[in-house]
Amino acid sequence: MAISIDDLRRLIVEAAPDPALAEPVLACADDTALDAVIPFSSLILLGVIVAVEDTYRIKITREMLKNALDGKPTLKKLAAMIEAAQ
Amino acid sequence: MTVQVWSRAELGTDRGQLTEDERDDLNGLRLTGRRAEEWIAGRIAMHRVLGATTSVTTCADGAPDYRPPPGARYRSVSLSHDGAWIAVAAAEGPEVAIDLCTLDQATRLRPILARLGVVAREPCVAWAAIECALKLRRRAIWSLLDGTIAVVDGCVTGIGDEVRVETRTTGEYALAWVA
Repeated sequence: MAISIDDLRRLIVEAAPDPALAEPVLACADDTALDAVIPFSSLILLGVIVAVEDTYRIKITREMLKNALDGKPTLKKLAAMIEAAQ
Repeated sequence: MTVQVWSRAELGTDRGQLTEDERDDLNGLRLTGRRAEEWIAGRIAMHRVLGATTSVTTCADGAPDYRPPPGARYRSVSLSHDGAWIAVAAAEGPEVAIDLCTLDQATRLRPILARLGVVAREPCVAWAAIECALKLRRRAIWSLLDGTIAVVDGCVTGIGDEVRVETRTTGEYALAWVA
């Protein structure tokens, strides 16, 4: 089951402590640095990873995350990481 | 060292309180909306500790970039914000770290800590301690995966050398700091 960018947007909003604050992620470009548009905290990122691992039955490793976050995290990079893990 | 916590409402988001270097930094970061407001409030908080004319910009890894001016009391500074709160720690020594975690994060934290293999009776305290260790060691979030992180009696292990943090819990948040 491939992940779409829209699935990822939804997971980020759900992982946010205050979903209303994360809503700009629903409309931002997929190559926008996430921490420029929402408070993309470590907690949100790890919450998304836990959700993705549970939903897609995959394991995100340290190396995968490191590569995905090289530079600034974007929706496109995270989606590519998840696809690679699948 | 000093550790101080303010509510965001108390600090405000007035760009006029930023130094010129900070305004340039903020423009370069291209932060928008709440992120920009959060950044400004963090600088206003640091000014309360370091003085209104002291610039604190941003390192490539997101940490505060503070160059102590000659004669400054504090040589290092750390910042944390979560929800309605902003915390600053400043130390006379070369390194300091602080993290604040609001208690309403506890439910969200449990599966995350479980994924990291961390057993914690108080998830927010454990998370603040882990974030503190990451900041002190200048490690990125991916270093938590596949690791062997543990938080026991104020000691964080598995993120470089052991880090012993001080903690305080109020009715609103858990705070951890180290210098």
